[in-house]
Amino acid sequence: MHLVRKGDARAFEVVVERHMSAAFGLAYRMTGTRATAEDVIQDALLSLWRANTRYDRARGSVRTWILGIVHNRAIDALRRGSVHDRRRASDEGIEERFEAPDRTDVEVARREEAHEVRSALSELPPDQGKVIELAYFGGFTHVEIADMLGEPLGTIKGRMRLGLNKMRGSLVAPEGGS
Amino acid sequence: MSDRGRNEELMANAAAWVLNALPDDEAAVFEAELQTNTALREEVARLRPVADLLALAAPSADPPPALHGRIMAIVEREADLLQAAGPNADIVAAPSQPEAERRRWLDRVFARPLIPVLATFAVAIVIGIGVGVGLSGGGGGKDVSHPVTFVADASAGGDLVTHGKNAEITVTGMPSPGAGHVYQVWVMKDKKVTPDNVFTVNRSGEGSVALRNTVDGAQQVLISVEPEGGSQQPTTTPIASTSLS
Repeated sequence: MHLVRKGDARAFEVVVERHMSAAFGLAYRMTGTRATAEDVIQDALLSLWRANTRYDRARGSVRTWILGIVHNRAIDALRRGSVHDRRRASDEGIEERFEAPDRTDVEVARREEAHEVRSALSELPPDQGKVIELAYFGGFTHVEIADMLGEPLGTIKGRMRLGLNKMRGSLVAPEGGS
Repeated sequence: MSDRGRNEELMANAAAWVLNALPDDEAAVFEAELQTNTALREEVARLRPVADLLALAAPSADPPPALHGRIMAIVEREADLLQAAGPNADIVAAPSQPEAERRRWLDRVFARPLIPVLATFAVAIVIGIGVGVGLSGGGGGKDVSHPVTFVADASAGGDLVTHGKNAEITVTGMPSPGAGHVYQVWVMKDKKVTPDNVFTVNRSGEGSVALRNTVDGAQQVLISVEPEGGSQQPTTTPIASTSLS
């Protein structure tokens, strides 16, 4: 990332190649259209290249940081246009048609990691999982989610918090201890 | 609302914020509070790693090969310009005191880390020179349209239409500048920038603004995000520009 910040195009290309499949998968999952997903990815990666966003170690790995940028750009695209009205691609559909094949041990490990996260999400009570899916992958605000589900705003916020706390218990290593 | 009630509401908003599910105005309030509220920062620190992991739940998918090529073509072009600018590209002679602030902003615009920004403008200028399109019949008073180039937003677009000394900018596809902020226009002539009118966009990302300064003799018109009410000097890097050369 240091080389990318110094304007090294080859270093940037390595970053692109390592994370493009995950980034495109996220953008497509959120926007539901390949064209919009391409625009989101181009916007996010060029923003990274032009140093408009700086790698924040507090956000974890480079991968999760880059995916965070992609997520933000996808949210912008969803809220800016009428993409919310379009059919959203289901995870199952993407797996069948586009999923990148495993090539290396690293990618096998990543697929396992993705499986863990999906499991943690699917193990949530349905009402908690639903609001987190709508917020994170659908790009809806909590007000919109409350309207959609016909629930009070406080209930929606509470479900988000409970759901994330429950997932935290499954996914995040406890601090300190053995 | 009592302090306790307000704090409870802020804590309740933490999960929505890390999921990017707060509307812009609420997000701005929340982010301002994060600067000083330790308990809130701790709550965010607990929840944000989990939200970040959600991205991994989306299955990977191979994008079209052309996307990689498109991105790298832009990157390589800008990297070449960065290299051509050389190691001294960001060294500027000490400015006179009254001009110091504006020159520092211009230094940031044209300095090395932002040479890719200049490169983008350069690409736009290469395309844009002579593209100033005459929109009506000849002689004085002809409308001329200049494309507005956005640095990091491929979906945004716009035009600067000049009519003699007057000008108006129209934009589409722009995101909201954020709560408490506006877009501001700057007219650049001989490396000096003059503040101009502010504007915002509607929910469809559309907006327009008539410039109050003349663009006669100006080389560029720039747009940046500024605090509500505008600024006398730019406080952020420009997000868009148009060349009048």
